[in-house]
Amino acid sequence: MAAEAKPERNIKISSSDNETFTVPRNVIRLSTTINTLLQDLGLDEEDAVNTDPIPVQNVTAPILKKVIAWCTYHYQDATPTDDADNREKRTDDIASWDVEFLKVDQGTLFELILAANYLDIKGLLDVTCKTVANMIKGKSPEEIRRTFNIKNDFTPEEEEQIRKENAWCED
Amino acid sequence: MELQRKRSFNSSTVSHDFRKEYKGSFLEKKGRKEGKKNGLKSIAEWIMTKASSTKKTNSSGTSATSTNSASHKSVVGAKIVTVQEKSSYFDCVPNEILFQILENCKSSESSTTLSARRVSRRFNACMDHISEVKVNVNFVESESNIGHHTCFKQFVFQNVPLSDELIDFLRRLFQFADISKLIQLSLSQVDFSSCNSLSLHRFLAPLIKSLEIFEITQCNGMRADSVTDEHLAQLNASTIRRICIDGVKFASGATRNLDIGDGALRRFAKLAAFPTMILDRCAVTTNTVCDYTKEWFEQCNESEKQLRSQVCTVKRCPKVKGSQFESECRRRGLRCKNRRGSGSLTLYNVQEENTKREFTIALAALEDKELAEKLKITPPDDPISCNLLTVPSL
Repeated sequence: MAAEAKPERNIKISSSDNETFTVPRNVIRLSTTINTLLQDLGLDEEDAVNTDPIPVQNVTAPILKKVIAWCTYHYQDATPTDDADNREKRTDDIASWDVEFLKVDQGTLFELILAANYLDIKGLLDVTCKTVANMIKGKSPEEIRRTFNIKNDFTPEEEEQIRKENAWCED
Repeated sequence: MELQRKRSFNSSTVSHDFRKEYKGSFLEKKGRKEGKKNGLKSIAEWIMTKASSTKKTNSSGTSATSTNSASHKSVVGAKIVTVQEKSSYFDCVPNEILFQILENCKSSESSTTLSARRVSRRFNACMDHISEVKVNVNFVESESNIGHHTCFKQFVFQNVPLSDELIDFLRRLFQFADISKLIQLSLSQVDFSSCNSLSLHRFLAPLIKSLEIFEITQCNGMRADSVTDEHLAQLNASTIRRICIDGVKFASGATRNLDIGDGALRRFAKLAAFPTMILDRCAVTTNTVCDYTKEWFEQCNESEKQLRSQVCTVKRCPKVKGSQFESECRRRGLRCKNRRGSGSLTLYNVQEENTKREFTIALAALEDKELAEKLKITPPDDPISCNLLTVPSL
């Protein structure tokens, strides 16, 4: 008799604004934070019964929705090896789906970074950081400040010192 | 009694009274209108100030602030005035994420790295922490300045007393930093009076692996054994391309030269390593400098001779004499012509017979005081013999 396929387990998570999402267990596995929580609390076992959603207090519903969408697309990806961490960082290797996915306003992009960091989703954190890095690359200090609304808090003396050091680096 | 305004306008001398003309004129109306406007404006400003100060004091007030922008709304009549102070999204990003973002910028062209450093203090600090930049170390103050991610390419120590304590401290820091790509070590105006020969050995030991430039310039408090042949022997002959010992100032007037003798030149010649050299107040001799020159012609490969401009300068070295150098060159089959260089330098262009390859020697005259002393002891055979030898190679 052929073994009957087990129904896919779902996990409920709730956002900071109390919206509840039901996510397949395999998808949410990408979040090390939730994965560890489920394992540590014994909620990962077959007979575990828990109807309460897991609260994700630092992430709002729209962002959590995006995070789940990213995880749903990527949950079958191969796990990156340790060698990948040691290799020189590249930012031109972002998958086209991710490029499209991250065509969002700056606020959403940074909230995704914070959510990825909080939920410990390495792949999402990598790709969002690379996207921000690409926004920095090739820009002058003033252009970077303008792009990200960063205040120039250097004193004229400090600016001069850095200018000198940079000149020295360029030698 | 009716008060009358003092007439400042003398109508006896000027028949036309402008004040009479101004009364009821367009100019007067305009002035009144603007006055009214200013009055309203000042009231509005007062209300706004009061409203904002009330808002500040009222802790339970409903402020429309988000994580990234602080906005203050004040109602003036029917108008809503909104003052927004938008802050950067980077402000809510922790340092470890900023590191990760900037790590990705690090690998791109250096201009991005340098630009990122100039954005803000925080960016600068993060780039310092993660970047593979050359760090000009004037004086390392705390251990936190150096981390696992820091890759040093150049150390320039300036105006610091070199002591065993400092060397111990630096050696500890080197254990936590990446110095595998260090190419330059420069000690400038460093006070050697508190360290001995062993101190420099210990200092050099972890640094010499890939060192290309080694400089000790304008240092004071030096003794004969502060820098010796043994120190230079520590350098990696296959990587070193410039050795500069210049502006040597001894702690004691009695010391005439450093213990850098013929050994260093012989060693480099033997290993076919011909770094650019400036040797000041050393114990090298004319013969060895000639041998070194000859070795360069014999060992240095053809392409290197054509392409490389190599300079070996020997200054204020009492055992090197210009005239003797010329005759020694001739004896070795090398043609030698001298000409006046800049300052007190005399340049000797040395050529191999039947070739155009050239090796240039520059001699610097002794300082007047030293020359007078020297003359008292051993009168020179000819004027050039008191010169100090500088051996620049092309």
